[in-house]
Amino acid sequence: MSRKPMSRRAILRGIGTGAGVAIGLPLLEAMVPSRLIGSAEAAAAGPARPHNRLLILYYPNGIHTPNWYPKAPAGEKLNPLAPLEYTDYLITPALQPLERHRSDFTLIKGLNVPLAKMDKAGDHAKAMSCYLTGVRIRRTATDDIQAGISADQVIANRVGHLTRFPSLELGLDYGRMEGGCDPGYACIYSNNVSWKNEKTPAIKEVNPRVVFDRLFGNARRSDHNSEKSGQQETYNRSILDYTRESLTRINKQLGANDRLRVDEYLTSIREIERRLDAPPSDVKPPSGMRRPTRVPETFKAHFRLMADLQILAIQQDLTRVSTFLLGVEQSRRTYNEIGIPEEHHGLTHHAGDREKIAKVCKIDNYCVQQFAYFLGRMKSIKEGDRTLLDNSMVLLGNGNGDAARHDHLNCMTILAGRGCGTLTPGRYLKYSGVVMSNLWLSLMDRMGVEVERHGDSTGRLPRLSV
Amino acid sequence: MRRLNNRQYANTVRTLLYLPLNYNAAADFPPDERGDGFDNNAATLTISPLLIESYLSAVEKATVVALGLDPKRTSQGDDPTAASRNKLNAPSARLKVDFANRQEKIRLNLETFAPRAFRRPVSREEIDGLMKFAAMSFAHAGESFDEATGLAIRATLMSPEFLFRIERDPQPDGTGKVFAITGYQLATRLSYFLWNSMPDEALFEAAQQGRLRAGLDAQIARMLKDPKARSLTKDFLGQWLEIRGIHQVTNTPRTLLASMQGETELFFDDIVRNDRSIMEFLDADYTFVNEELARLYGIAGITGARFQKVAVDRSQRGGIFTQASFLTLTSKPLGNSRRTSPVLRGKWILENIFGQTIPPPPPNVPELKFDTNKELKGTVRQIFEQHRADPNCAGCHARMDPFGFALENYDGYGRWRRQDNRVDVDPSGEIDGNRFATPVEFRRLLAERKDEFRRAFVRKILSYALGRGLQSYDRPAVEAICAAAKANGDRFSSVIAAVAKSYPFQHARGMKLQPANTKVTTWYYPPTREPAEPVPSPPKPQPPFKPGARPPAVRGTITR
Repeated sequence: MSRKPMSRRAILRGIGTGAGVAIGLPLLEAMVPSRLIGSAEAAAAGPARPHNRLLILYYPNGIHTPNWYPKAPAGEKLNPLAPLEYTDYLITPALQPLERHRSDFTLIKGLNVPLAKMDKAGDHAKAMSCYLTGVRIRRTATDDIQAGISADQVIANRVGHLTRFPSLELGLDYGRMEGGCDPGYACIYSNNVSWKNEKTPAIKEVNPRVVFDRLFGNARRSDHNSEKSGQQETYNRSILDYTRESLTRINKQLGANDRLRVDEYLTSIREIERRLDAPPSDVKPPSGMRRPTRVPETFKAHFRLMADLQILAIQQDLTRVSTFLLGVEQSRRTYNEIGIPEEHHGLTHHAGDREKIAKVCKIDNYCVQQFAYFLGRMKSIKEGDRTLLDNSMVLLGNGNGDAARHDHLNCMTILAGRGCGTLTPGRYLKYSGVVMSNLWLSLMDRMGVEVERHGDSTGRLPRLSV
Repeated sequence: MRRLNNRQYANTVRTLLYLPLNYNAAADFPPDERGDGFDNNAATLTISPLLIESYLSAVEKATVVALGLDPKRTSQGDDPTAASRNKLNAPSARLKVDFANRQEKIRLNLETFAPRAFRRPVSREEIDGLMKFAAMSFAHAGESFDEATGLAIRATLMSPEFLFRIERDPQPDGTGKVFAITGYQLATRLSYFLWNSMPDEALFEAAQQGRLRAGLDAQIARMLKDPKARSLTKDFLGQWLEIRGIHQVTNTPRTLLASMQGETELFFDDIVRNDRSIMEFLDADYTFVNEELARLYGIAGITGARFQKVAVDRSQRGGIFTQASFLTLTSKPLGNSRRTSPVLRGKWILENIFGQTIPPPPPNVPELKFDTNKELKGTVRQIFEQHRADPNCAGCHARMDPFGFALENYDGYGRWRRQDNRVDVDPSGEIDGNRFATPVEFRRLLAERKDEFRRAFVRKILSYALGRGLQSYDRPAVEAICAAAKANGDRFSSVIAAVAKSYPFQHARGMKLQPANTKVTTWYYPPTREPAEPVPSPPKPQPPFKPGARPPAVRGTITR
C-alpha cells in the first residue's frame, strides 16, 4: 500500500471542488511521498526505523475559550485558505504548565464540529460521538442508535494488525450509570468517543488493574507456570474455534439486526486469536511498576497511572493508536482535591459568574498540568537518538468548544509530538473555521492510512508541518 | 437475540455452577451501556474483544473455584466449594471415577449441565461437541477428571447459546412475522425479568411439561417470594428511580448514602414481598430507618445499623417523595454541603413517577447563581422564582418547579426544615388548578394521580421486562396491563402477572433479512464557513432582587 504523491496540478484541479483548502502553499504534506511519513510498512520493515503513533486525549465539557487562546494582535485577519501562524506567542495562564514543552506542541484554534450543532439539545452526546466520527448521530434514546466509525478505528483497521492490540481505549470515568444522560440521546453516545462501526462503540477500560493485566497478563502468568499457561492458551484457542463454529451455525438462523452482534463476536475472536498467534510476548512491566490494586481516588493519581500504562503500551509497541477519556461529558465528576466540590459540568454553565469561571479555568488548568506530565514522561523516554514524543502524535482535544456555550466552535486542540518528523510543533495555528474531520484526515495520512474522506471532512488540514 | 448483561452473567454463572452467594464472575468486566434507562436493553449490549477476553478469564477462574482446581489448595476436606463440585457431579454419582468410566461420567454430567446453561433441551450433537473438550483434556497427560469437566464447562460457557438469549424463529422465512415464544423461552424471559438470573428446576420442568402458561400465576407468586426476586429491587428499582447511582453523590458520608439507598430498597422490597399496592409509593404511613437515617429524620429511639419498620409522622414523611434517597439525588453540591434543586426534584417526579417528558433547556442557559462565600440572599425558592422571570424558561419551569417548591421543607439531604437561609419556607403552590398550602396537602394531591402513576410504572416495568424501549404498537399492551392492575387493587403481583401475560412478553419478532432500518445513511454536512471569531454574547442582566419580596403565585399543570 504505497500512497501516490499528489501532483500540484491535481491540487489545483481540486480547488474548485472544495478539496484544496490549502492553496498557495509551496509543498503540502499530501504531496510528500508516503515513505517519508511514518507509515506502517516503514515500521514493519525494521525495528530500527521508528513508527508513528496517535494518542488522543479527550477532555470533557469544553474549555473556557476566552482564557485559553492567546490574545489576537490588532488588525489580525484570518485567511480562509491557510492558517495564521505564530511562533512567538504569549502562552495564556490556562496553558502555563505547558510552557516548558513549548517547542513540542502546536496550539490550534479554529477547528469546529459543525455536525454537533444539528438537531435539538444533546450537545454533550454530540460533542463526544460526533468528534472523531464526523457524522451526524441519530437522535434516539433507544434501540436504533447510529453514529459512525471514528478516526482512531479507521487507523486501527489498517495498522492494528501490526501490534498486539489494534487500539487501546482508556478512560477515567465510566459515566452516568443510572438515570438519563443528554435529553433525547442514549447514554452510549455521551460515554464514548471511539466507535468501531455505526452501532458499536469501542468500550473503554477505566480500572488500571484490568489494563495492567491486559497488557502484561501473559508475562505475569508465565512467570508463575509457563507450561501450564501454554496449555491454557491452547485450550482457549480450541474454545474460540468451537465458539466460532457455533456462531457460524447460528448466523444462518438469524435476522439482519442480530447478525450484527454475531459479527461483533466473530471480529472479537479474530482479534484475540491474532494476539495468541503473535510470537510469545516478552513484554514485562518495568521493575518499578507494581500491579495496581484499585482505582485511585483523585483525578491526578488516576490520570498518572493510566498515562503510565498507556505510555508503556506504545513504548513497547503493544499498540499504536489509543483514545483516553479524561472524563465523560456531563458526568457528576467533582475535583475536591483542588478545592472544587461542585460538579465540573454544572460549573461550565457559568453565565458570566466570575467565581464559576475561575473554577472552570482552574479545572482546565489542572487538566493541562496532567497533560504536561504526559508529555514530560514521553519526552523522558529515548528511542534511538530521539524521544518517544518525537515519534508520536499526542492530541488533547474536545468537541464541545466553549464550555458555557456548547458551540462546538474553536474546539480545544493541542497537537504535541513530531510524529516521526511529520509534524512541526512549537507554533500557534489559527484556522478560520475548518471542520475537525480535516485534522483526522491529516493525522491518518501521518499514520500511513490514506482515505479520501472521513465523515464530513472537506480536505486535509494544511500547515501541520513546514 | 440479546447478550446477558454483566449482572445477569454473574447471577447465572453463580447459579449454574453452584458458587457461593458472594461470587461475582463479572467483577472485572467493562460496564454495560444503557438504553432507555435500563442496562438490559439489547440494542446497547454490544460485544468487544475486551469483553470476550473477560469472559475467557472469568470462566477459567469460575471453574477453578467450582471444581476446587486451585493447585495451591491441597486438602479437600475443608474446601468450601466441595458442595458445588458434588452438585455438578451428581448426575453421574452412581458411576465411579476410573479410566473406563470417566468419559461416560462427564457425558452424563453434561447432559444435565448443558440444558441448564443453554436454557433449552440440547441435542446429542451439541453434547458431542462439548465432549471433545473433555477428550482433549484427557489426551494431555496429567489432566484429571475434574480438569476435563472444567474444560467442557468452559466451552459451554463461551458458547453463544449461553452468552446470548436466542429466540429462534420457528418459520425462518425472512419476513419477520411475530411468533409465540416456546415454554422454555417464556421460562427464560420470566426468570430474567424477576430474578435477573437463569430459570430454576421448577421453571424448566413446567416448560418441559408444557404447563408453564397455564400455571403462570402460581409460578409468579412463587418466584416473587424467592430471595432472588431482590434483583427487582436492585436492578429495576435501582435504575428506574436512579438510586443505583446514589454512591456518586458528593458531599455526603458514604454510610449515609448507603442508608438512604437501604430505606428506598426496603420500602420497595416490602411492597414486593407482601404484595402491597404500588400506590404506597405515592403516600404511606410507614418507612424503614436505621439509626443514621432516624437521626436525619428526627425519629427518636432507633439504634444500630439494622433497619426497622417504623410509623412516620404524616405531617413530615410518607411515600417516596419524602425519602432522603430521592431528595438527596436531586440536590446539588454547594460548598461543602448540598442545596436543594426544585427544578431537578420537579423533573424527577414528572419523569420517573408520572412518566412525562420534559424538553431539554434551550442551549446557553446558565445554571443559577449560588455564591458559596457570600451570604445567600433569600431562600432557594426566591432565587429560582427570578429565574422563571425569563419567558423562554417559564413554560417548562411552570410545569416542574411547583413540585420542587412544595418540597422545600426538605433540605439537600432530605432533612425536615422550616426555614431556608433564615427565611421561612413557603411550600404552597398550585398544580393543575388545585391549590395546596402544606407538604401534606401536596402529597394528598399527588396520591390522587393514580392513573398517571400506574401508567408510568407499567411502562417502566414493561420496558425492563422486555429489555427494549417501548414503541407505539405497545400501547394496547400497556392499557391492558393498567386495566388488569387497577381491577386488582394495584397489587404488585397483579402488575407482574399482567406484564407476563401481555402480548409483547409472550411473543417475539421473527427473523427479518433486512434490518429494520434498511437505509444506512452517512450524513455528510455541507462545508460551511464558521464566523472566524464568535462574538461572545453578554450574560443576560438579572432582574434586581428584593429580599423578602413574595414571588407571584406558582401555577403548574400536569398534561395527560
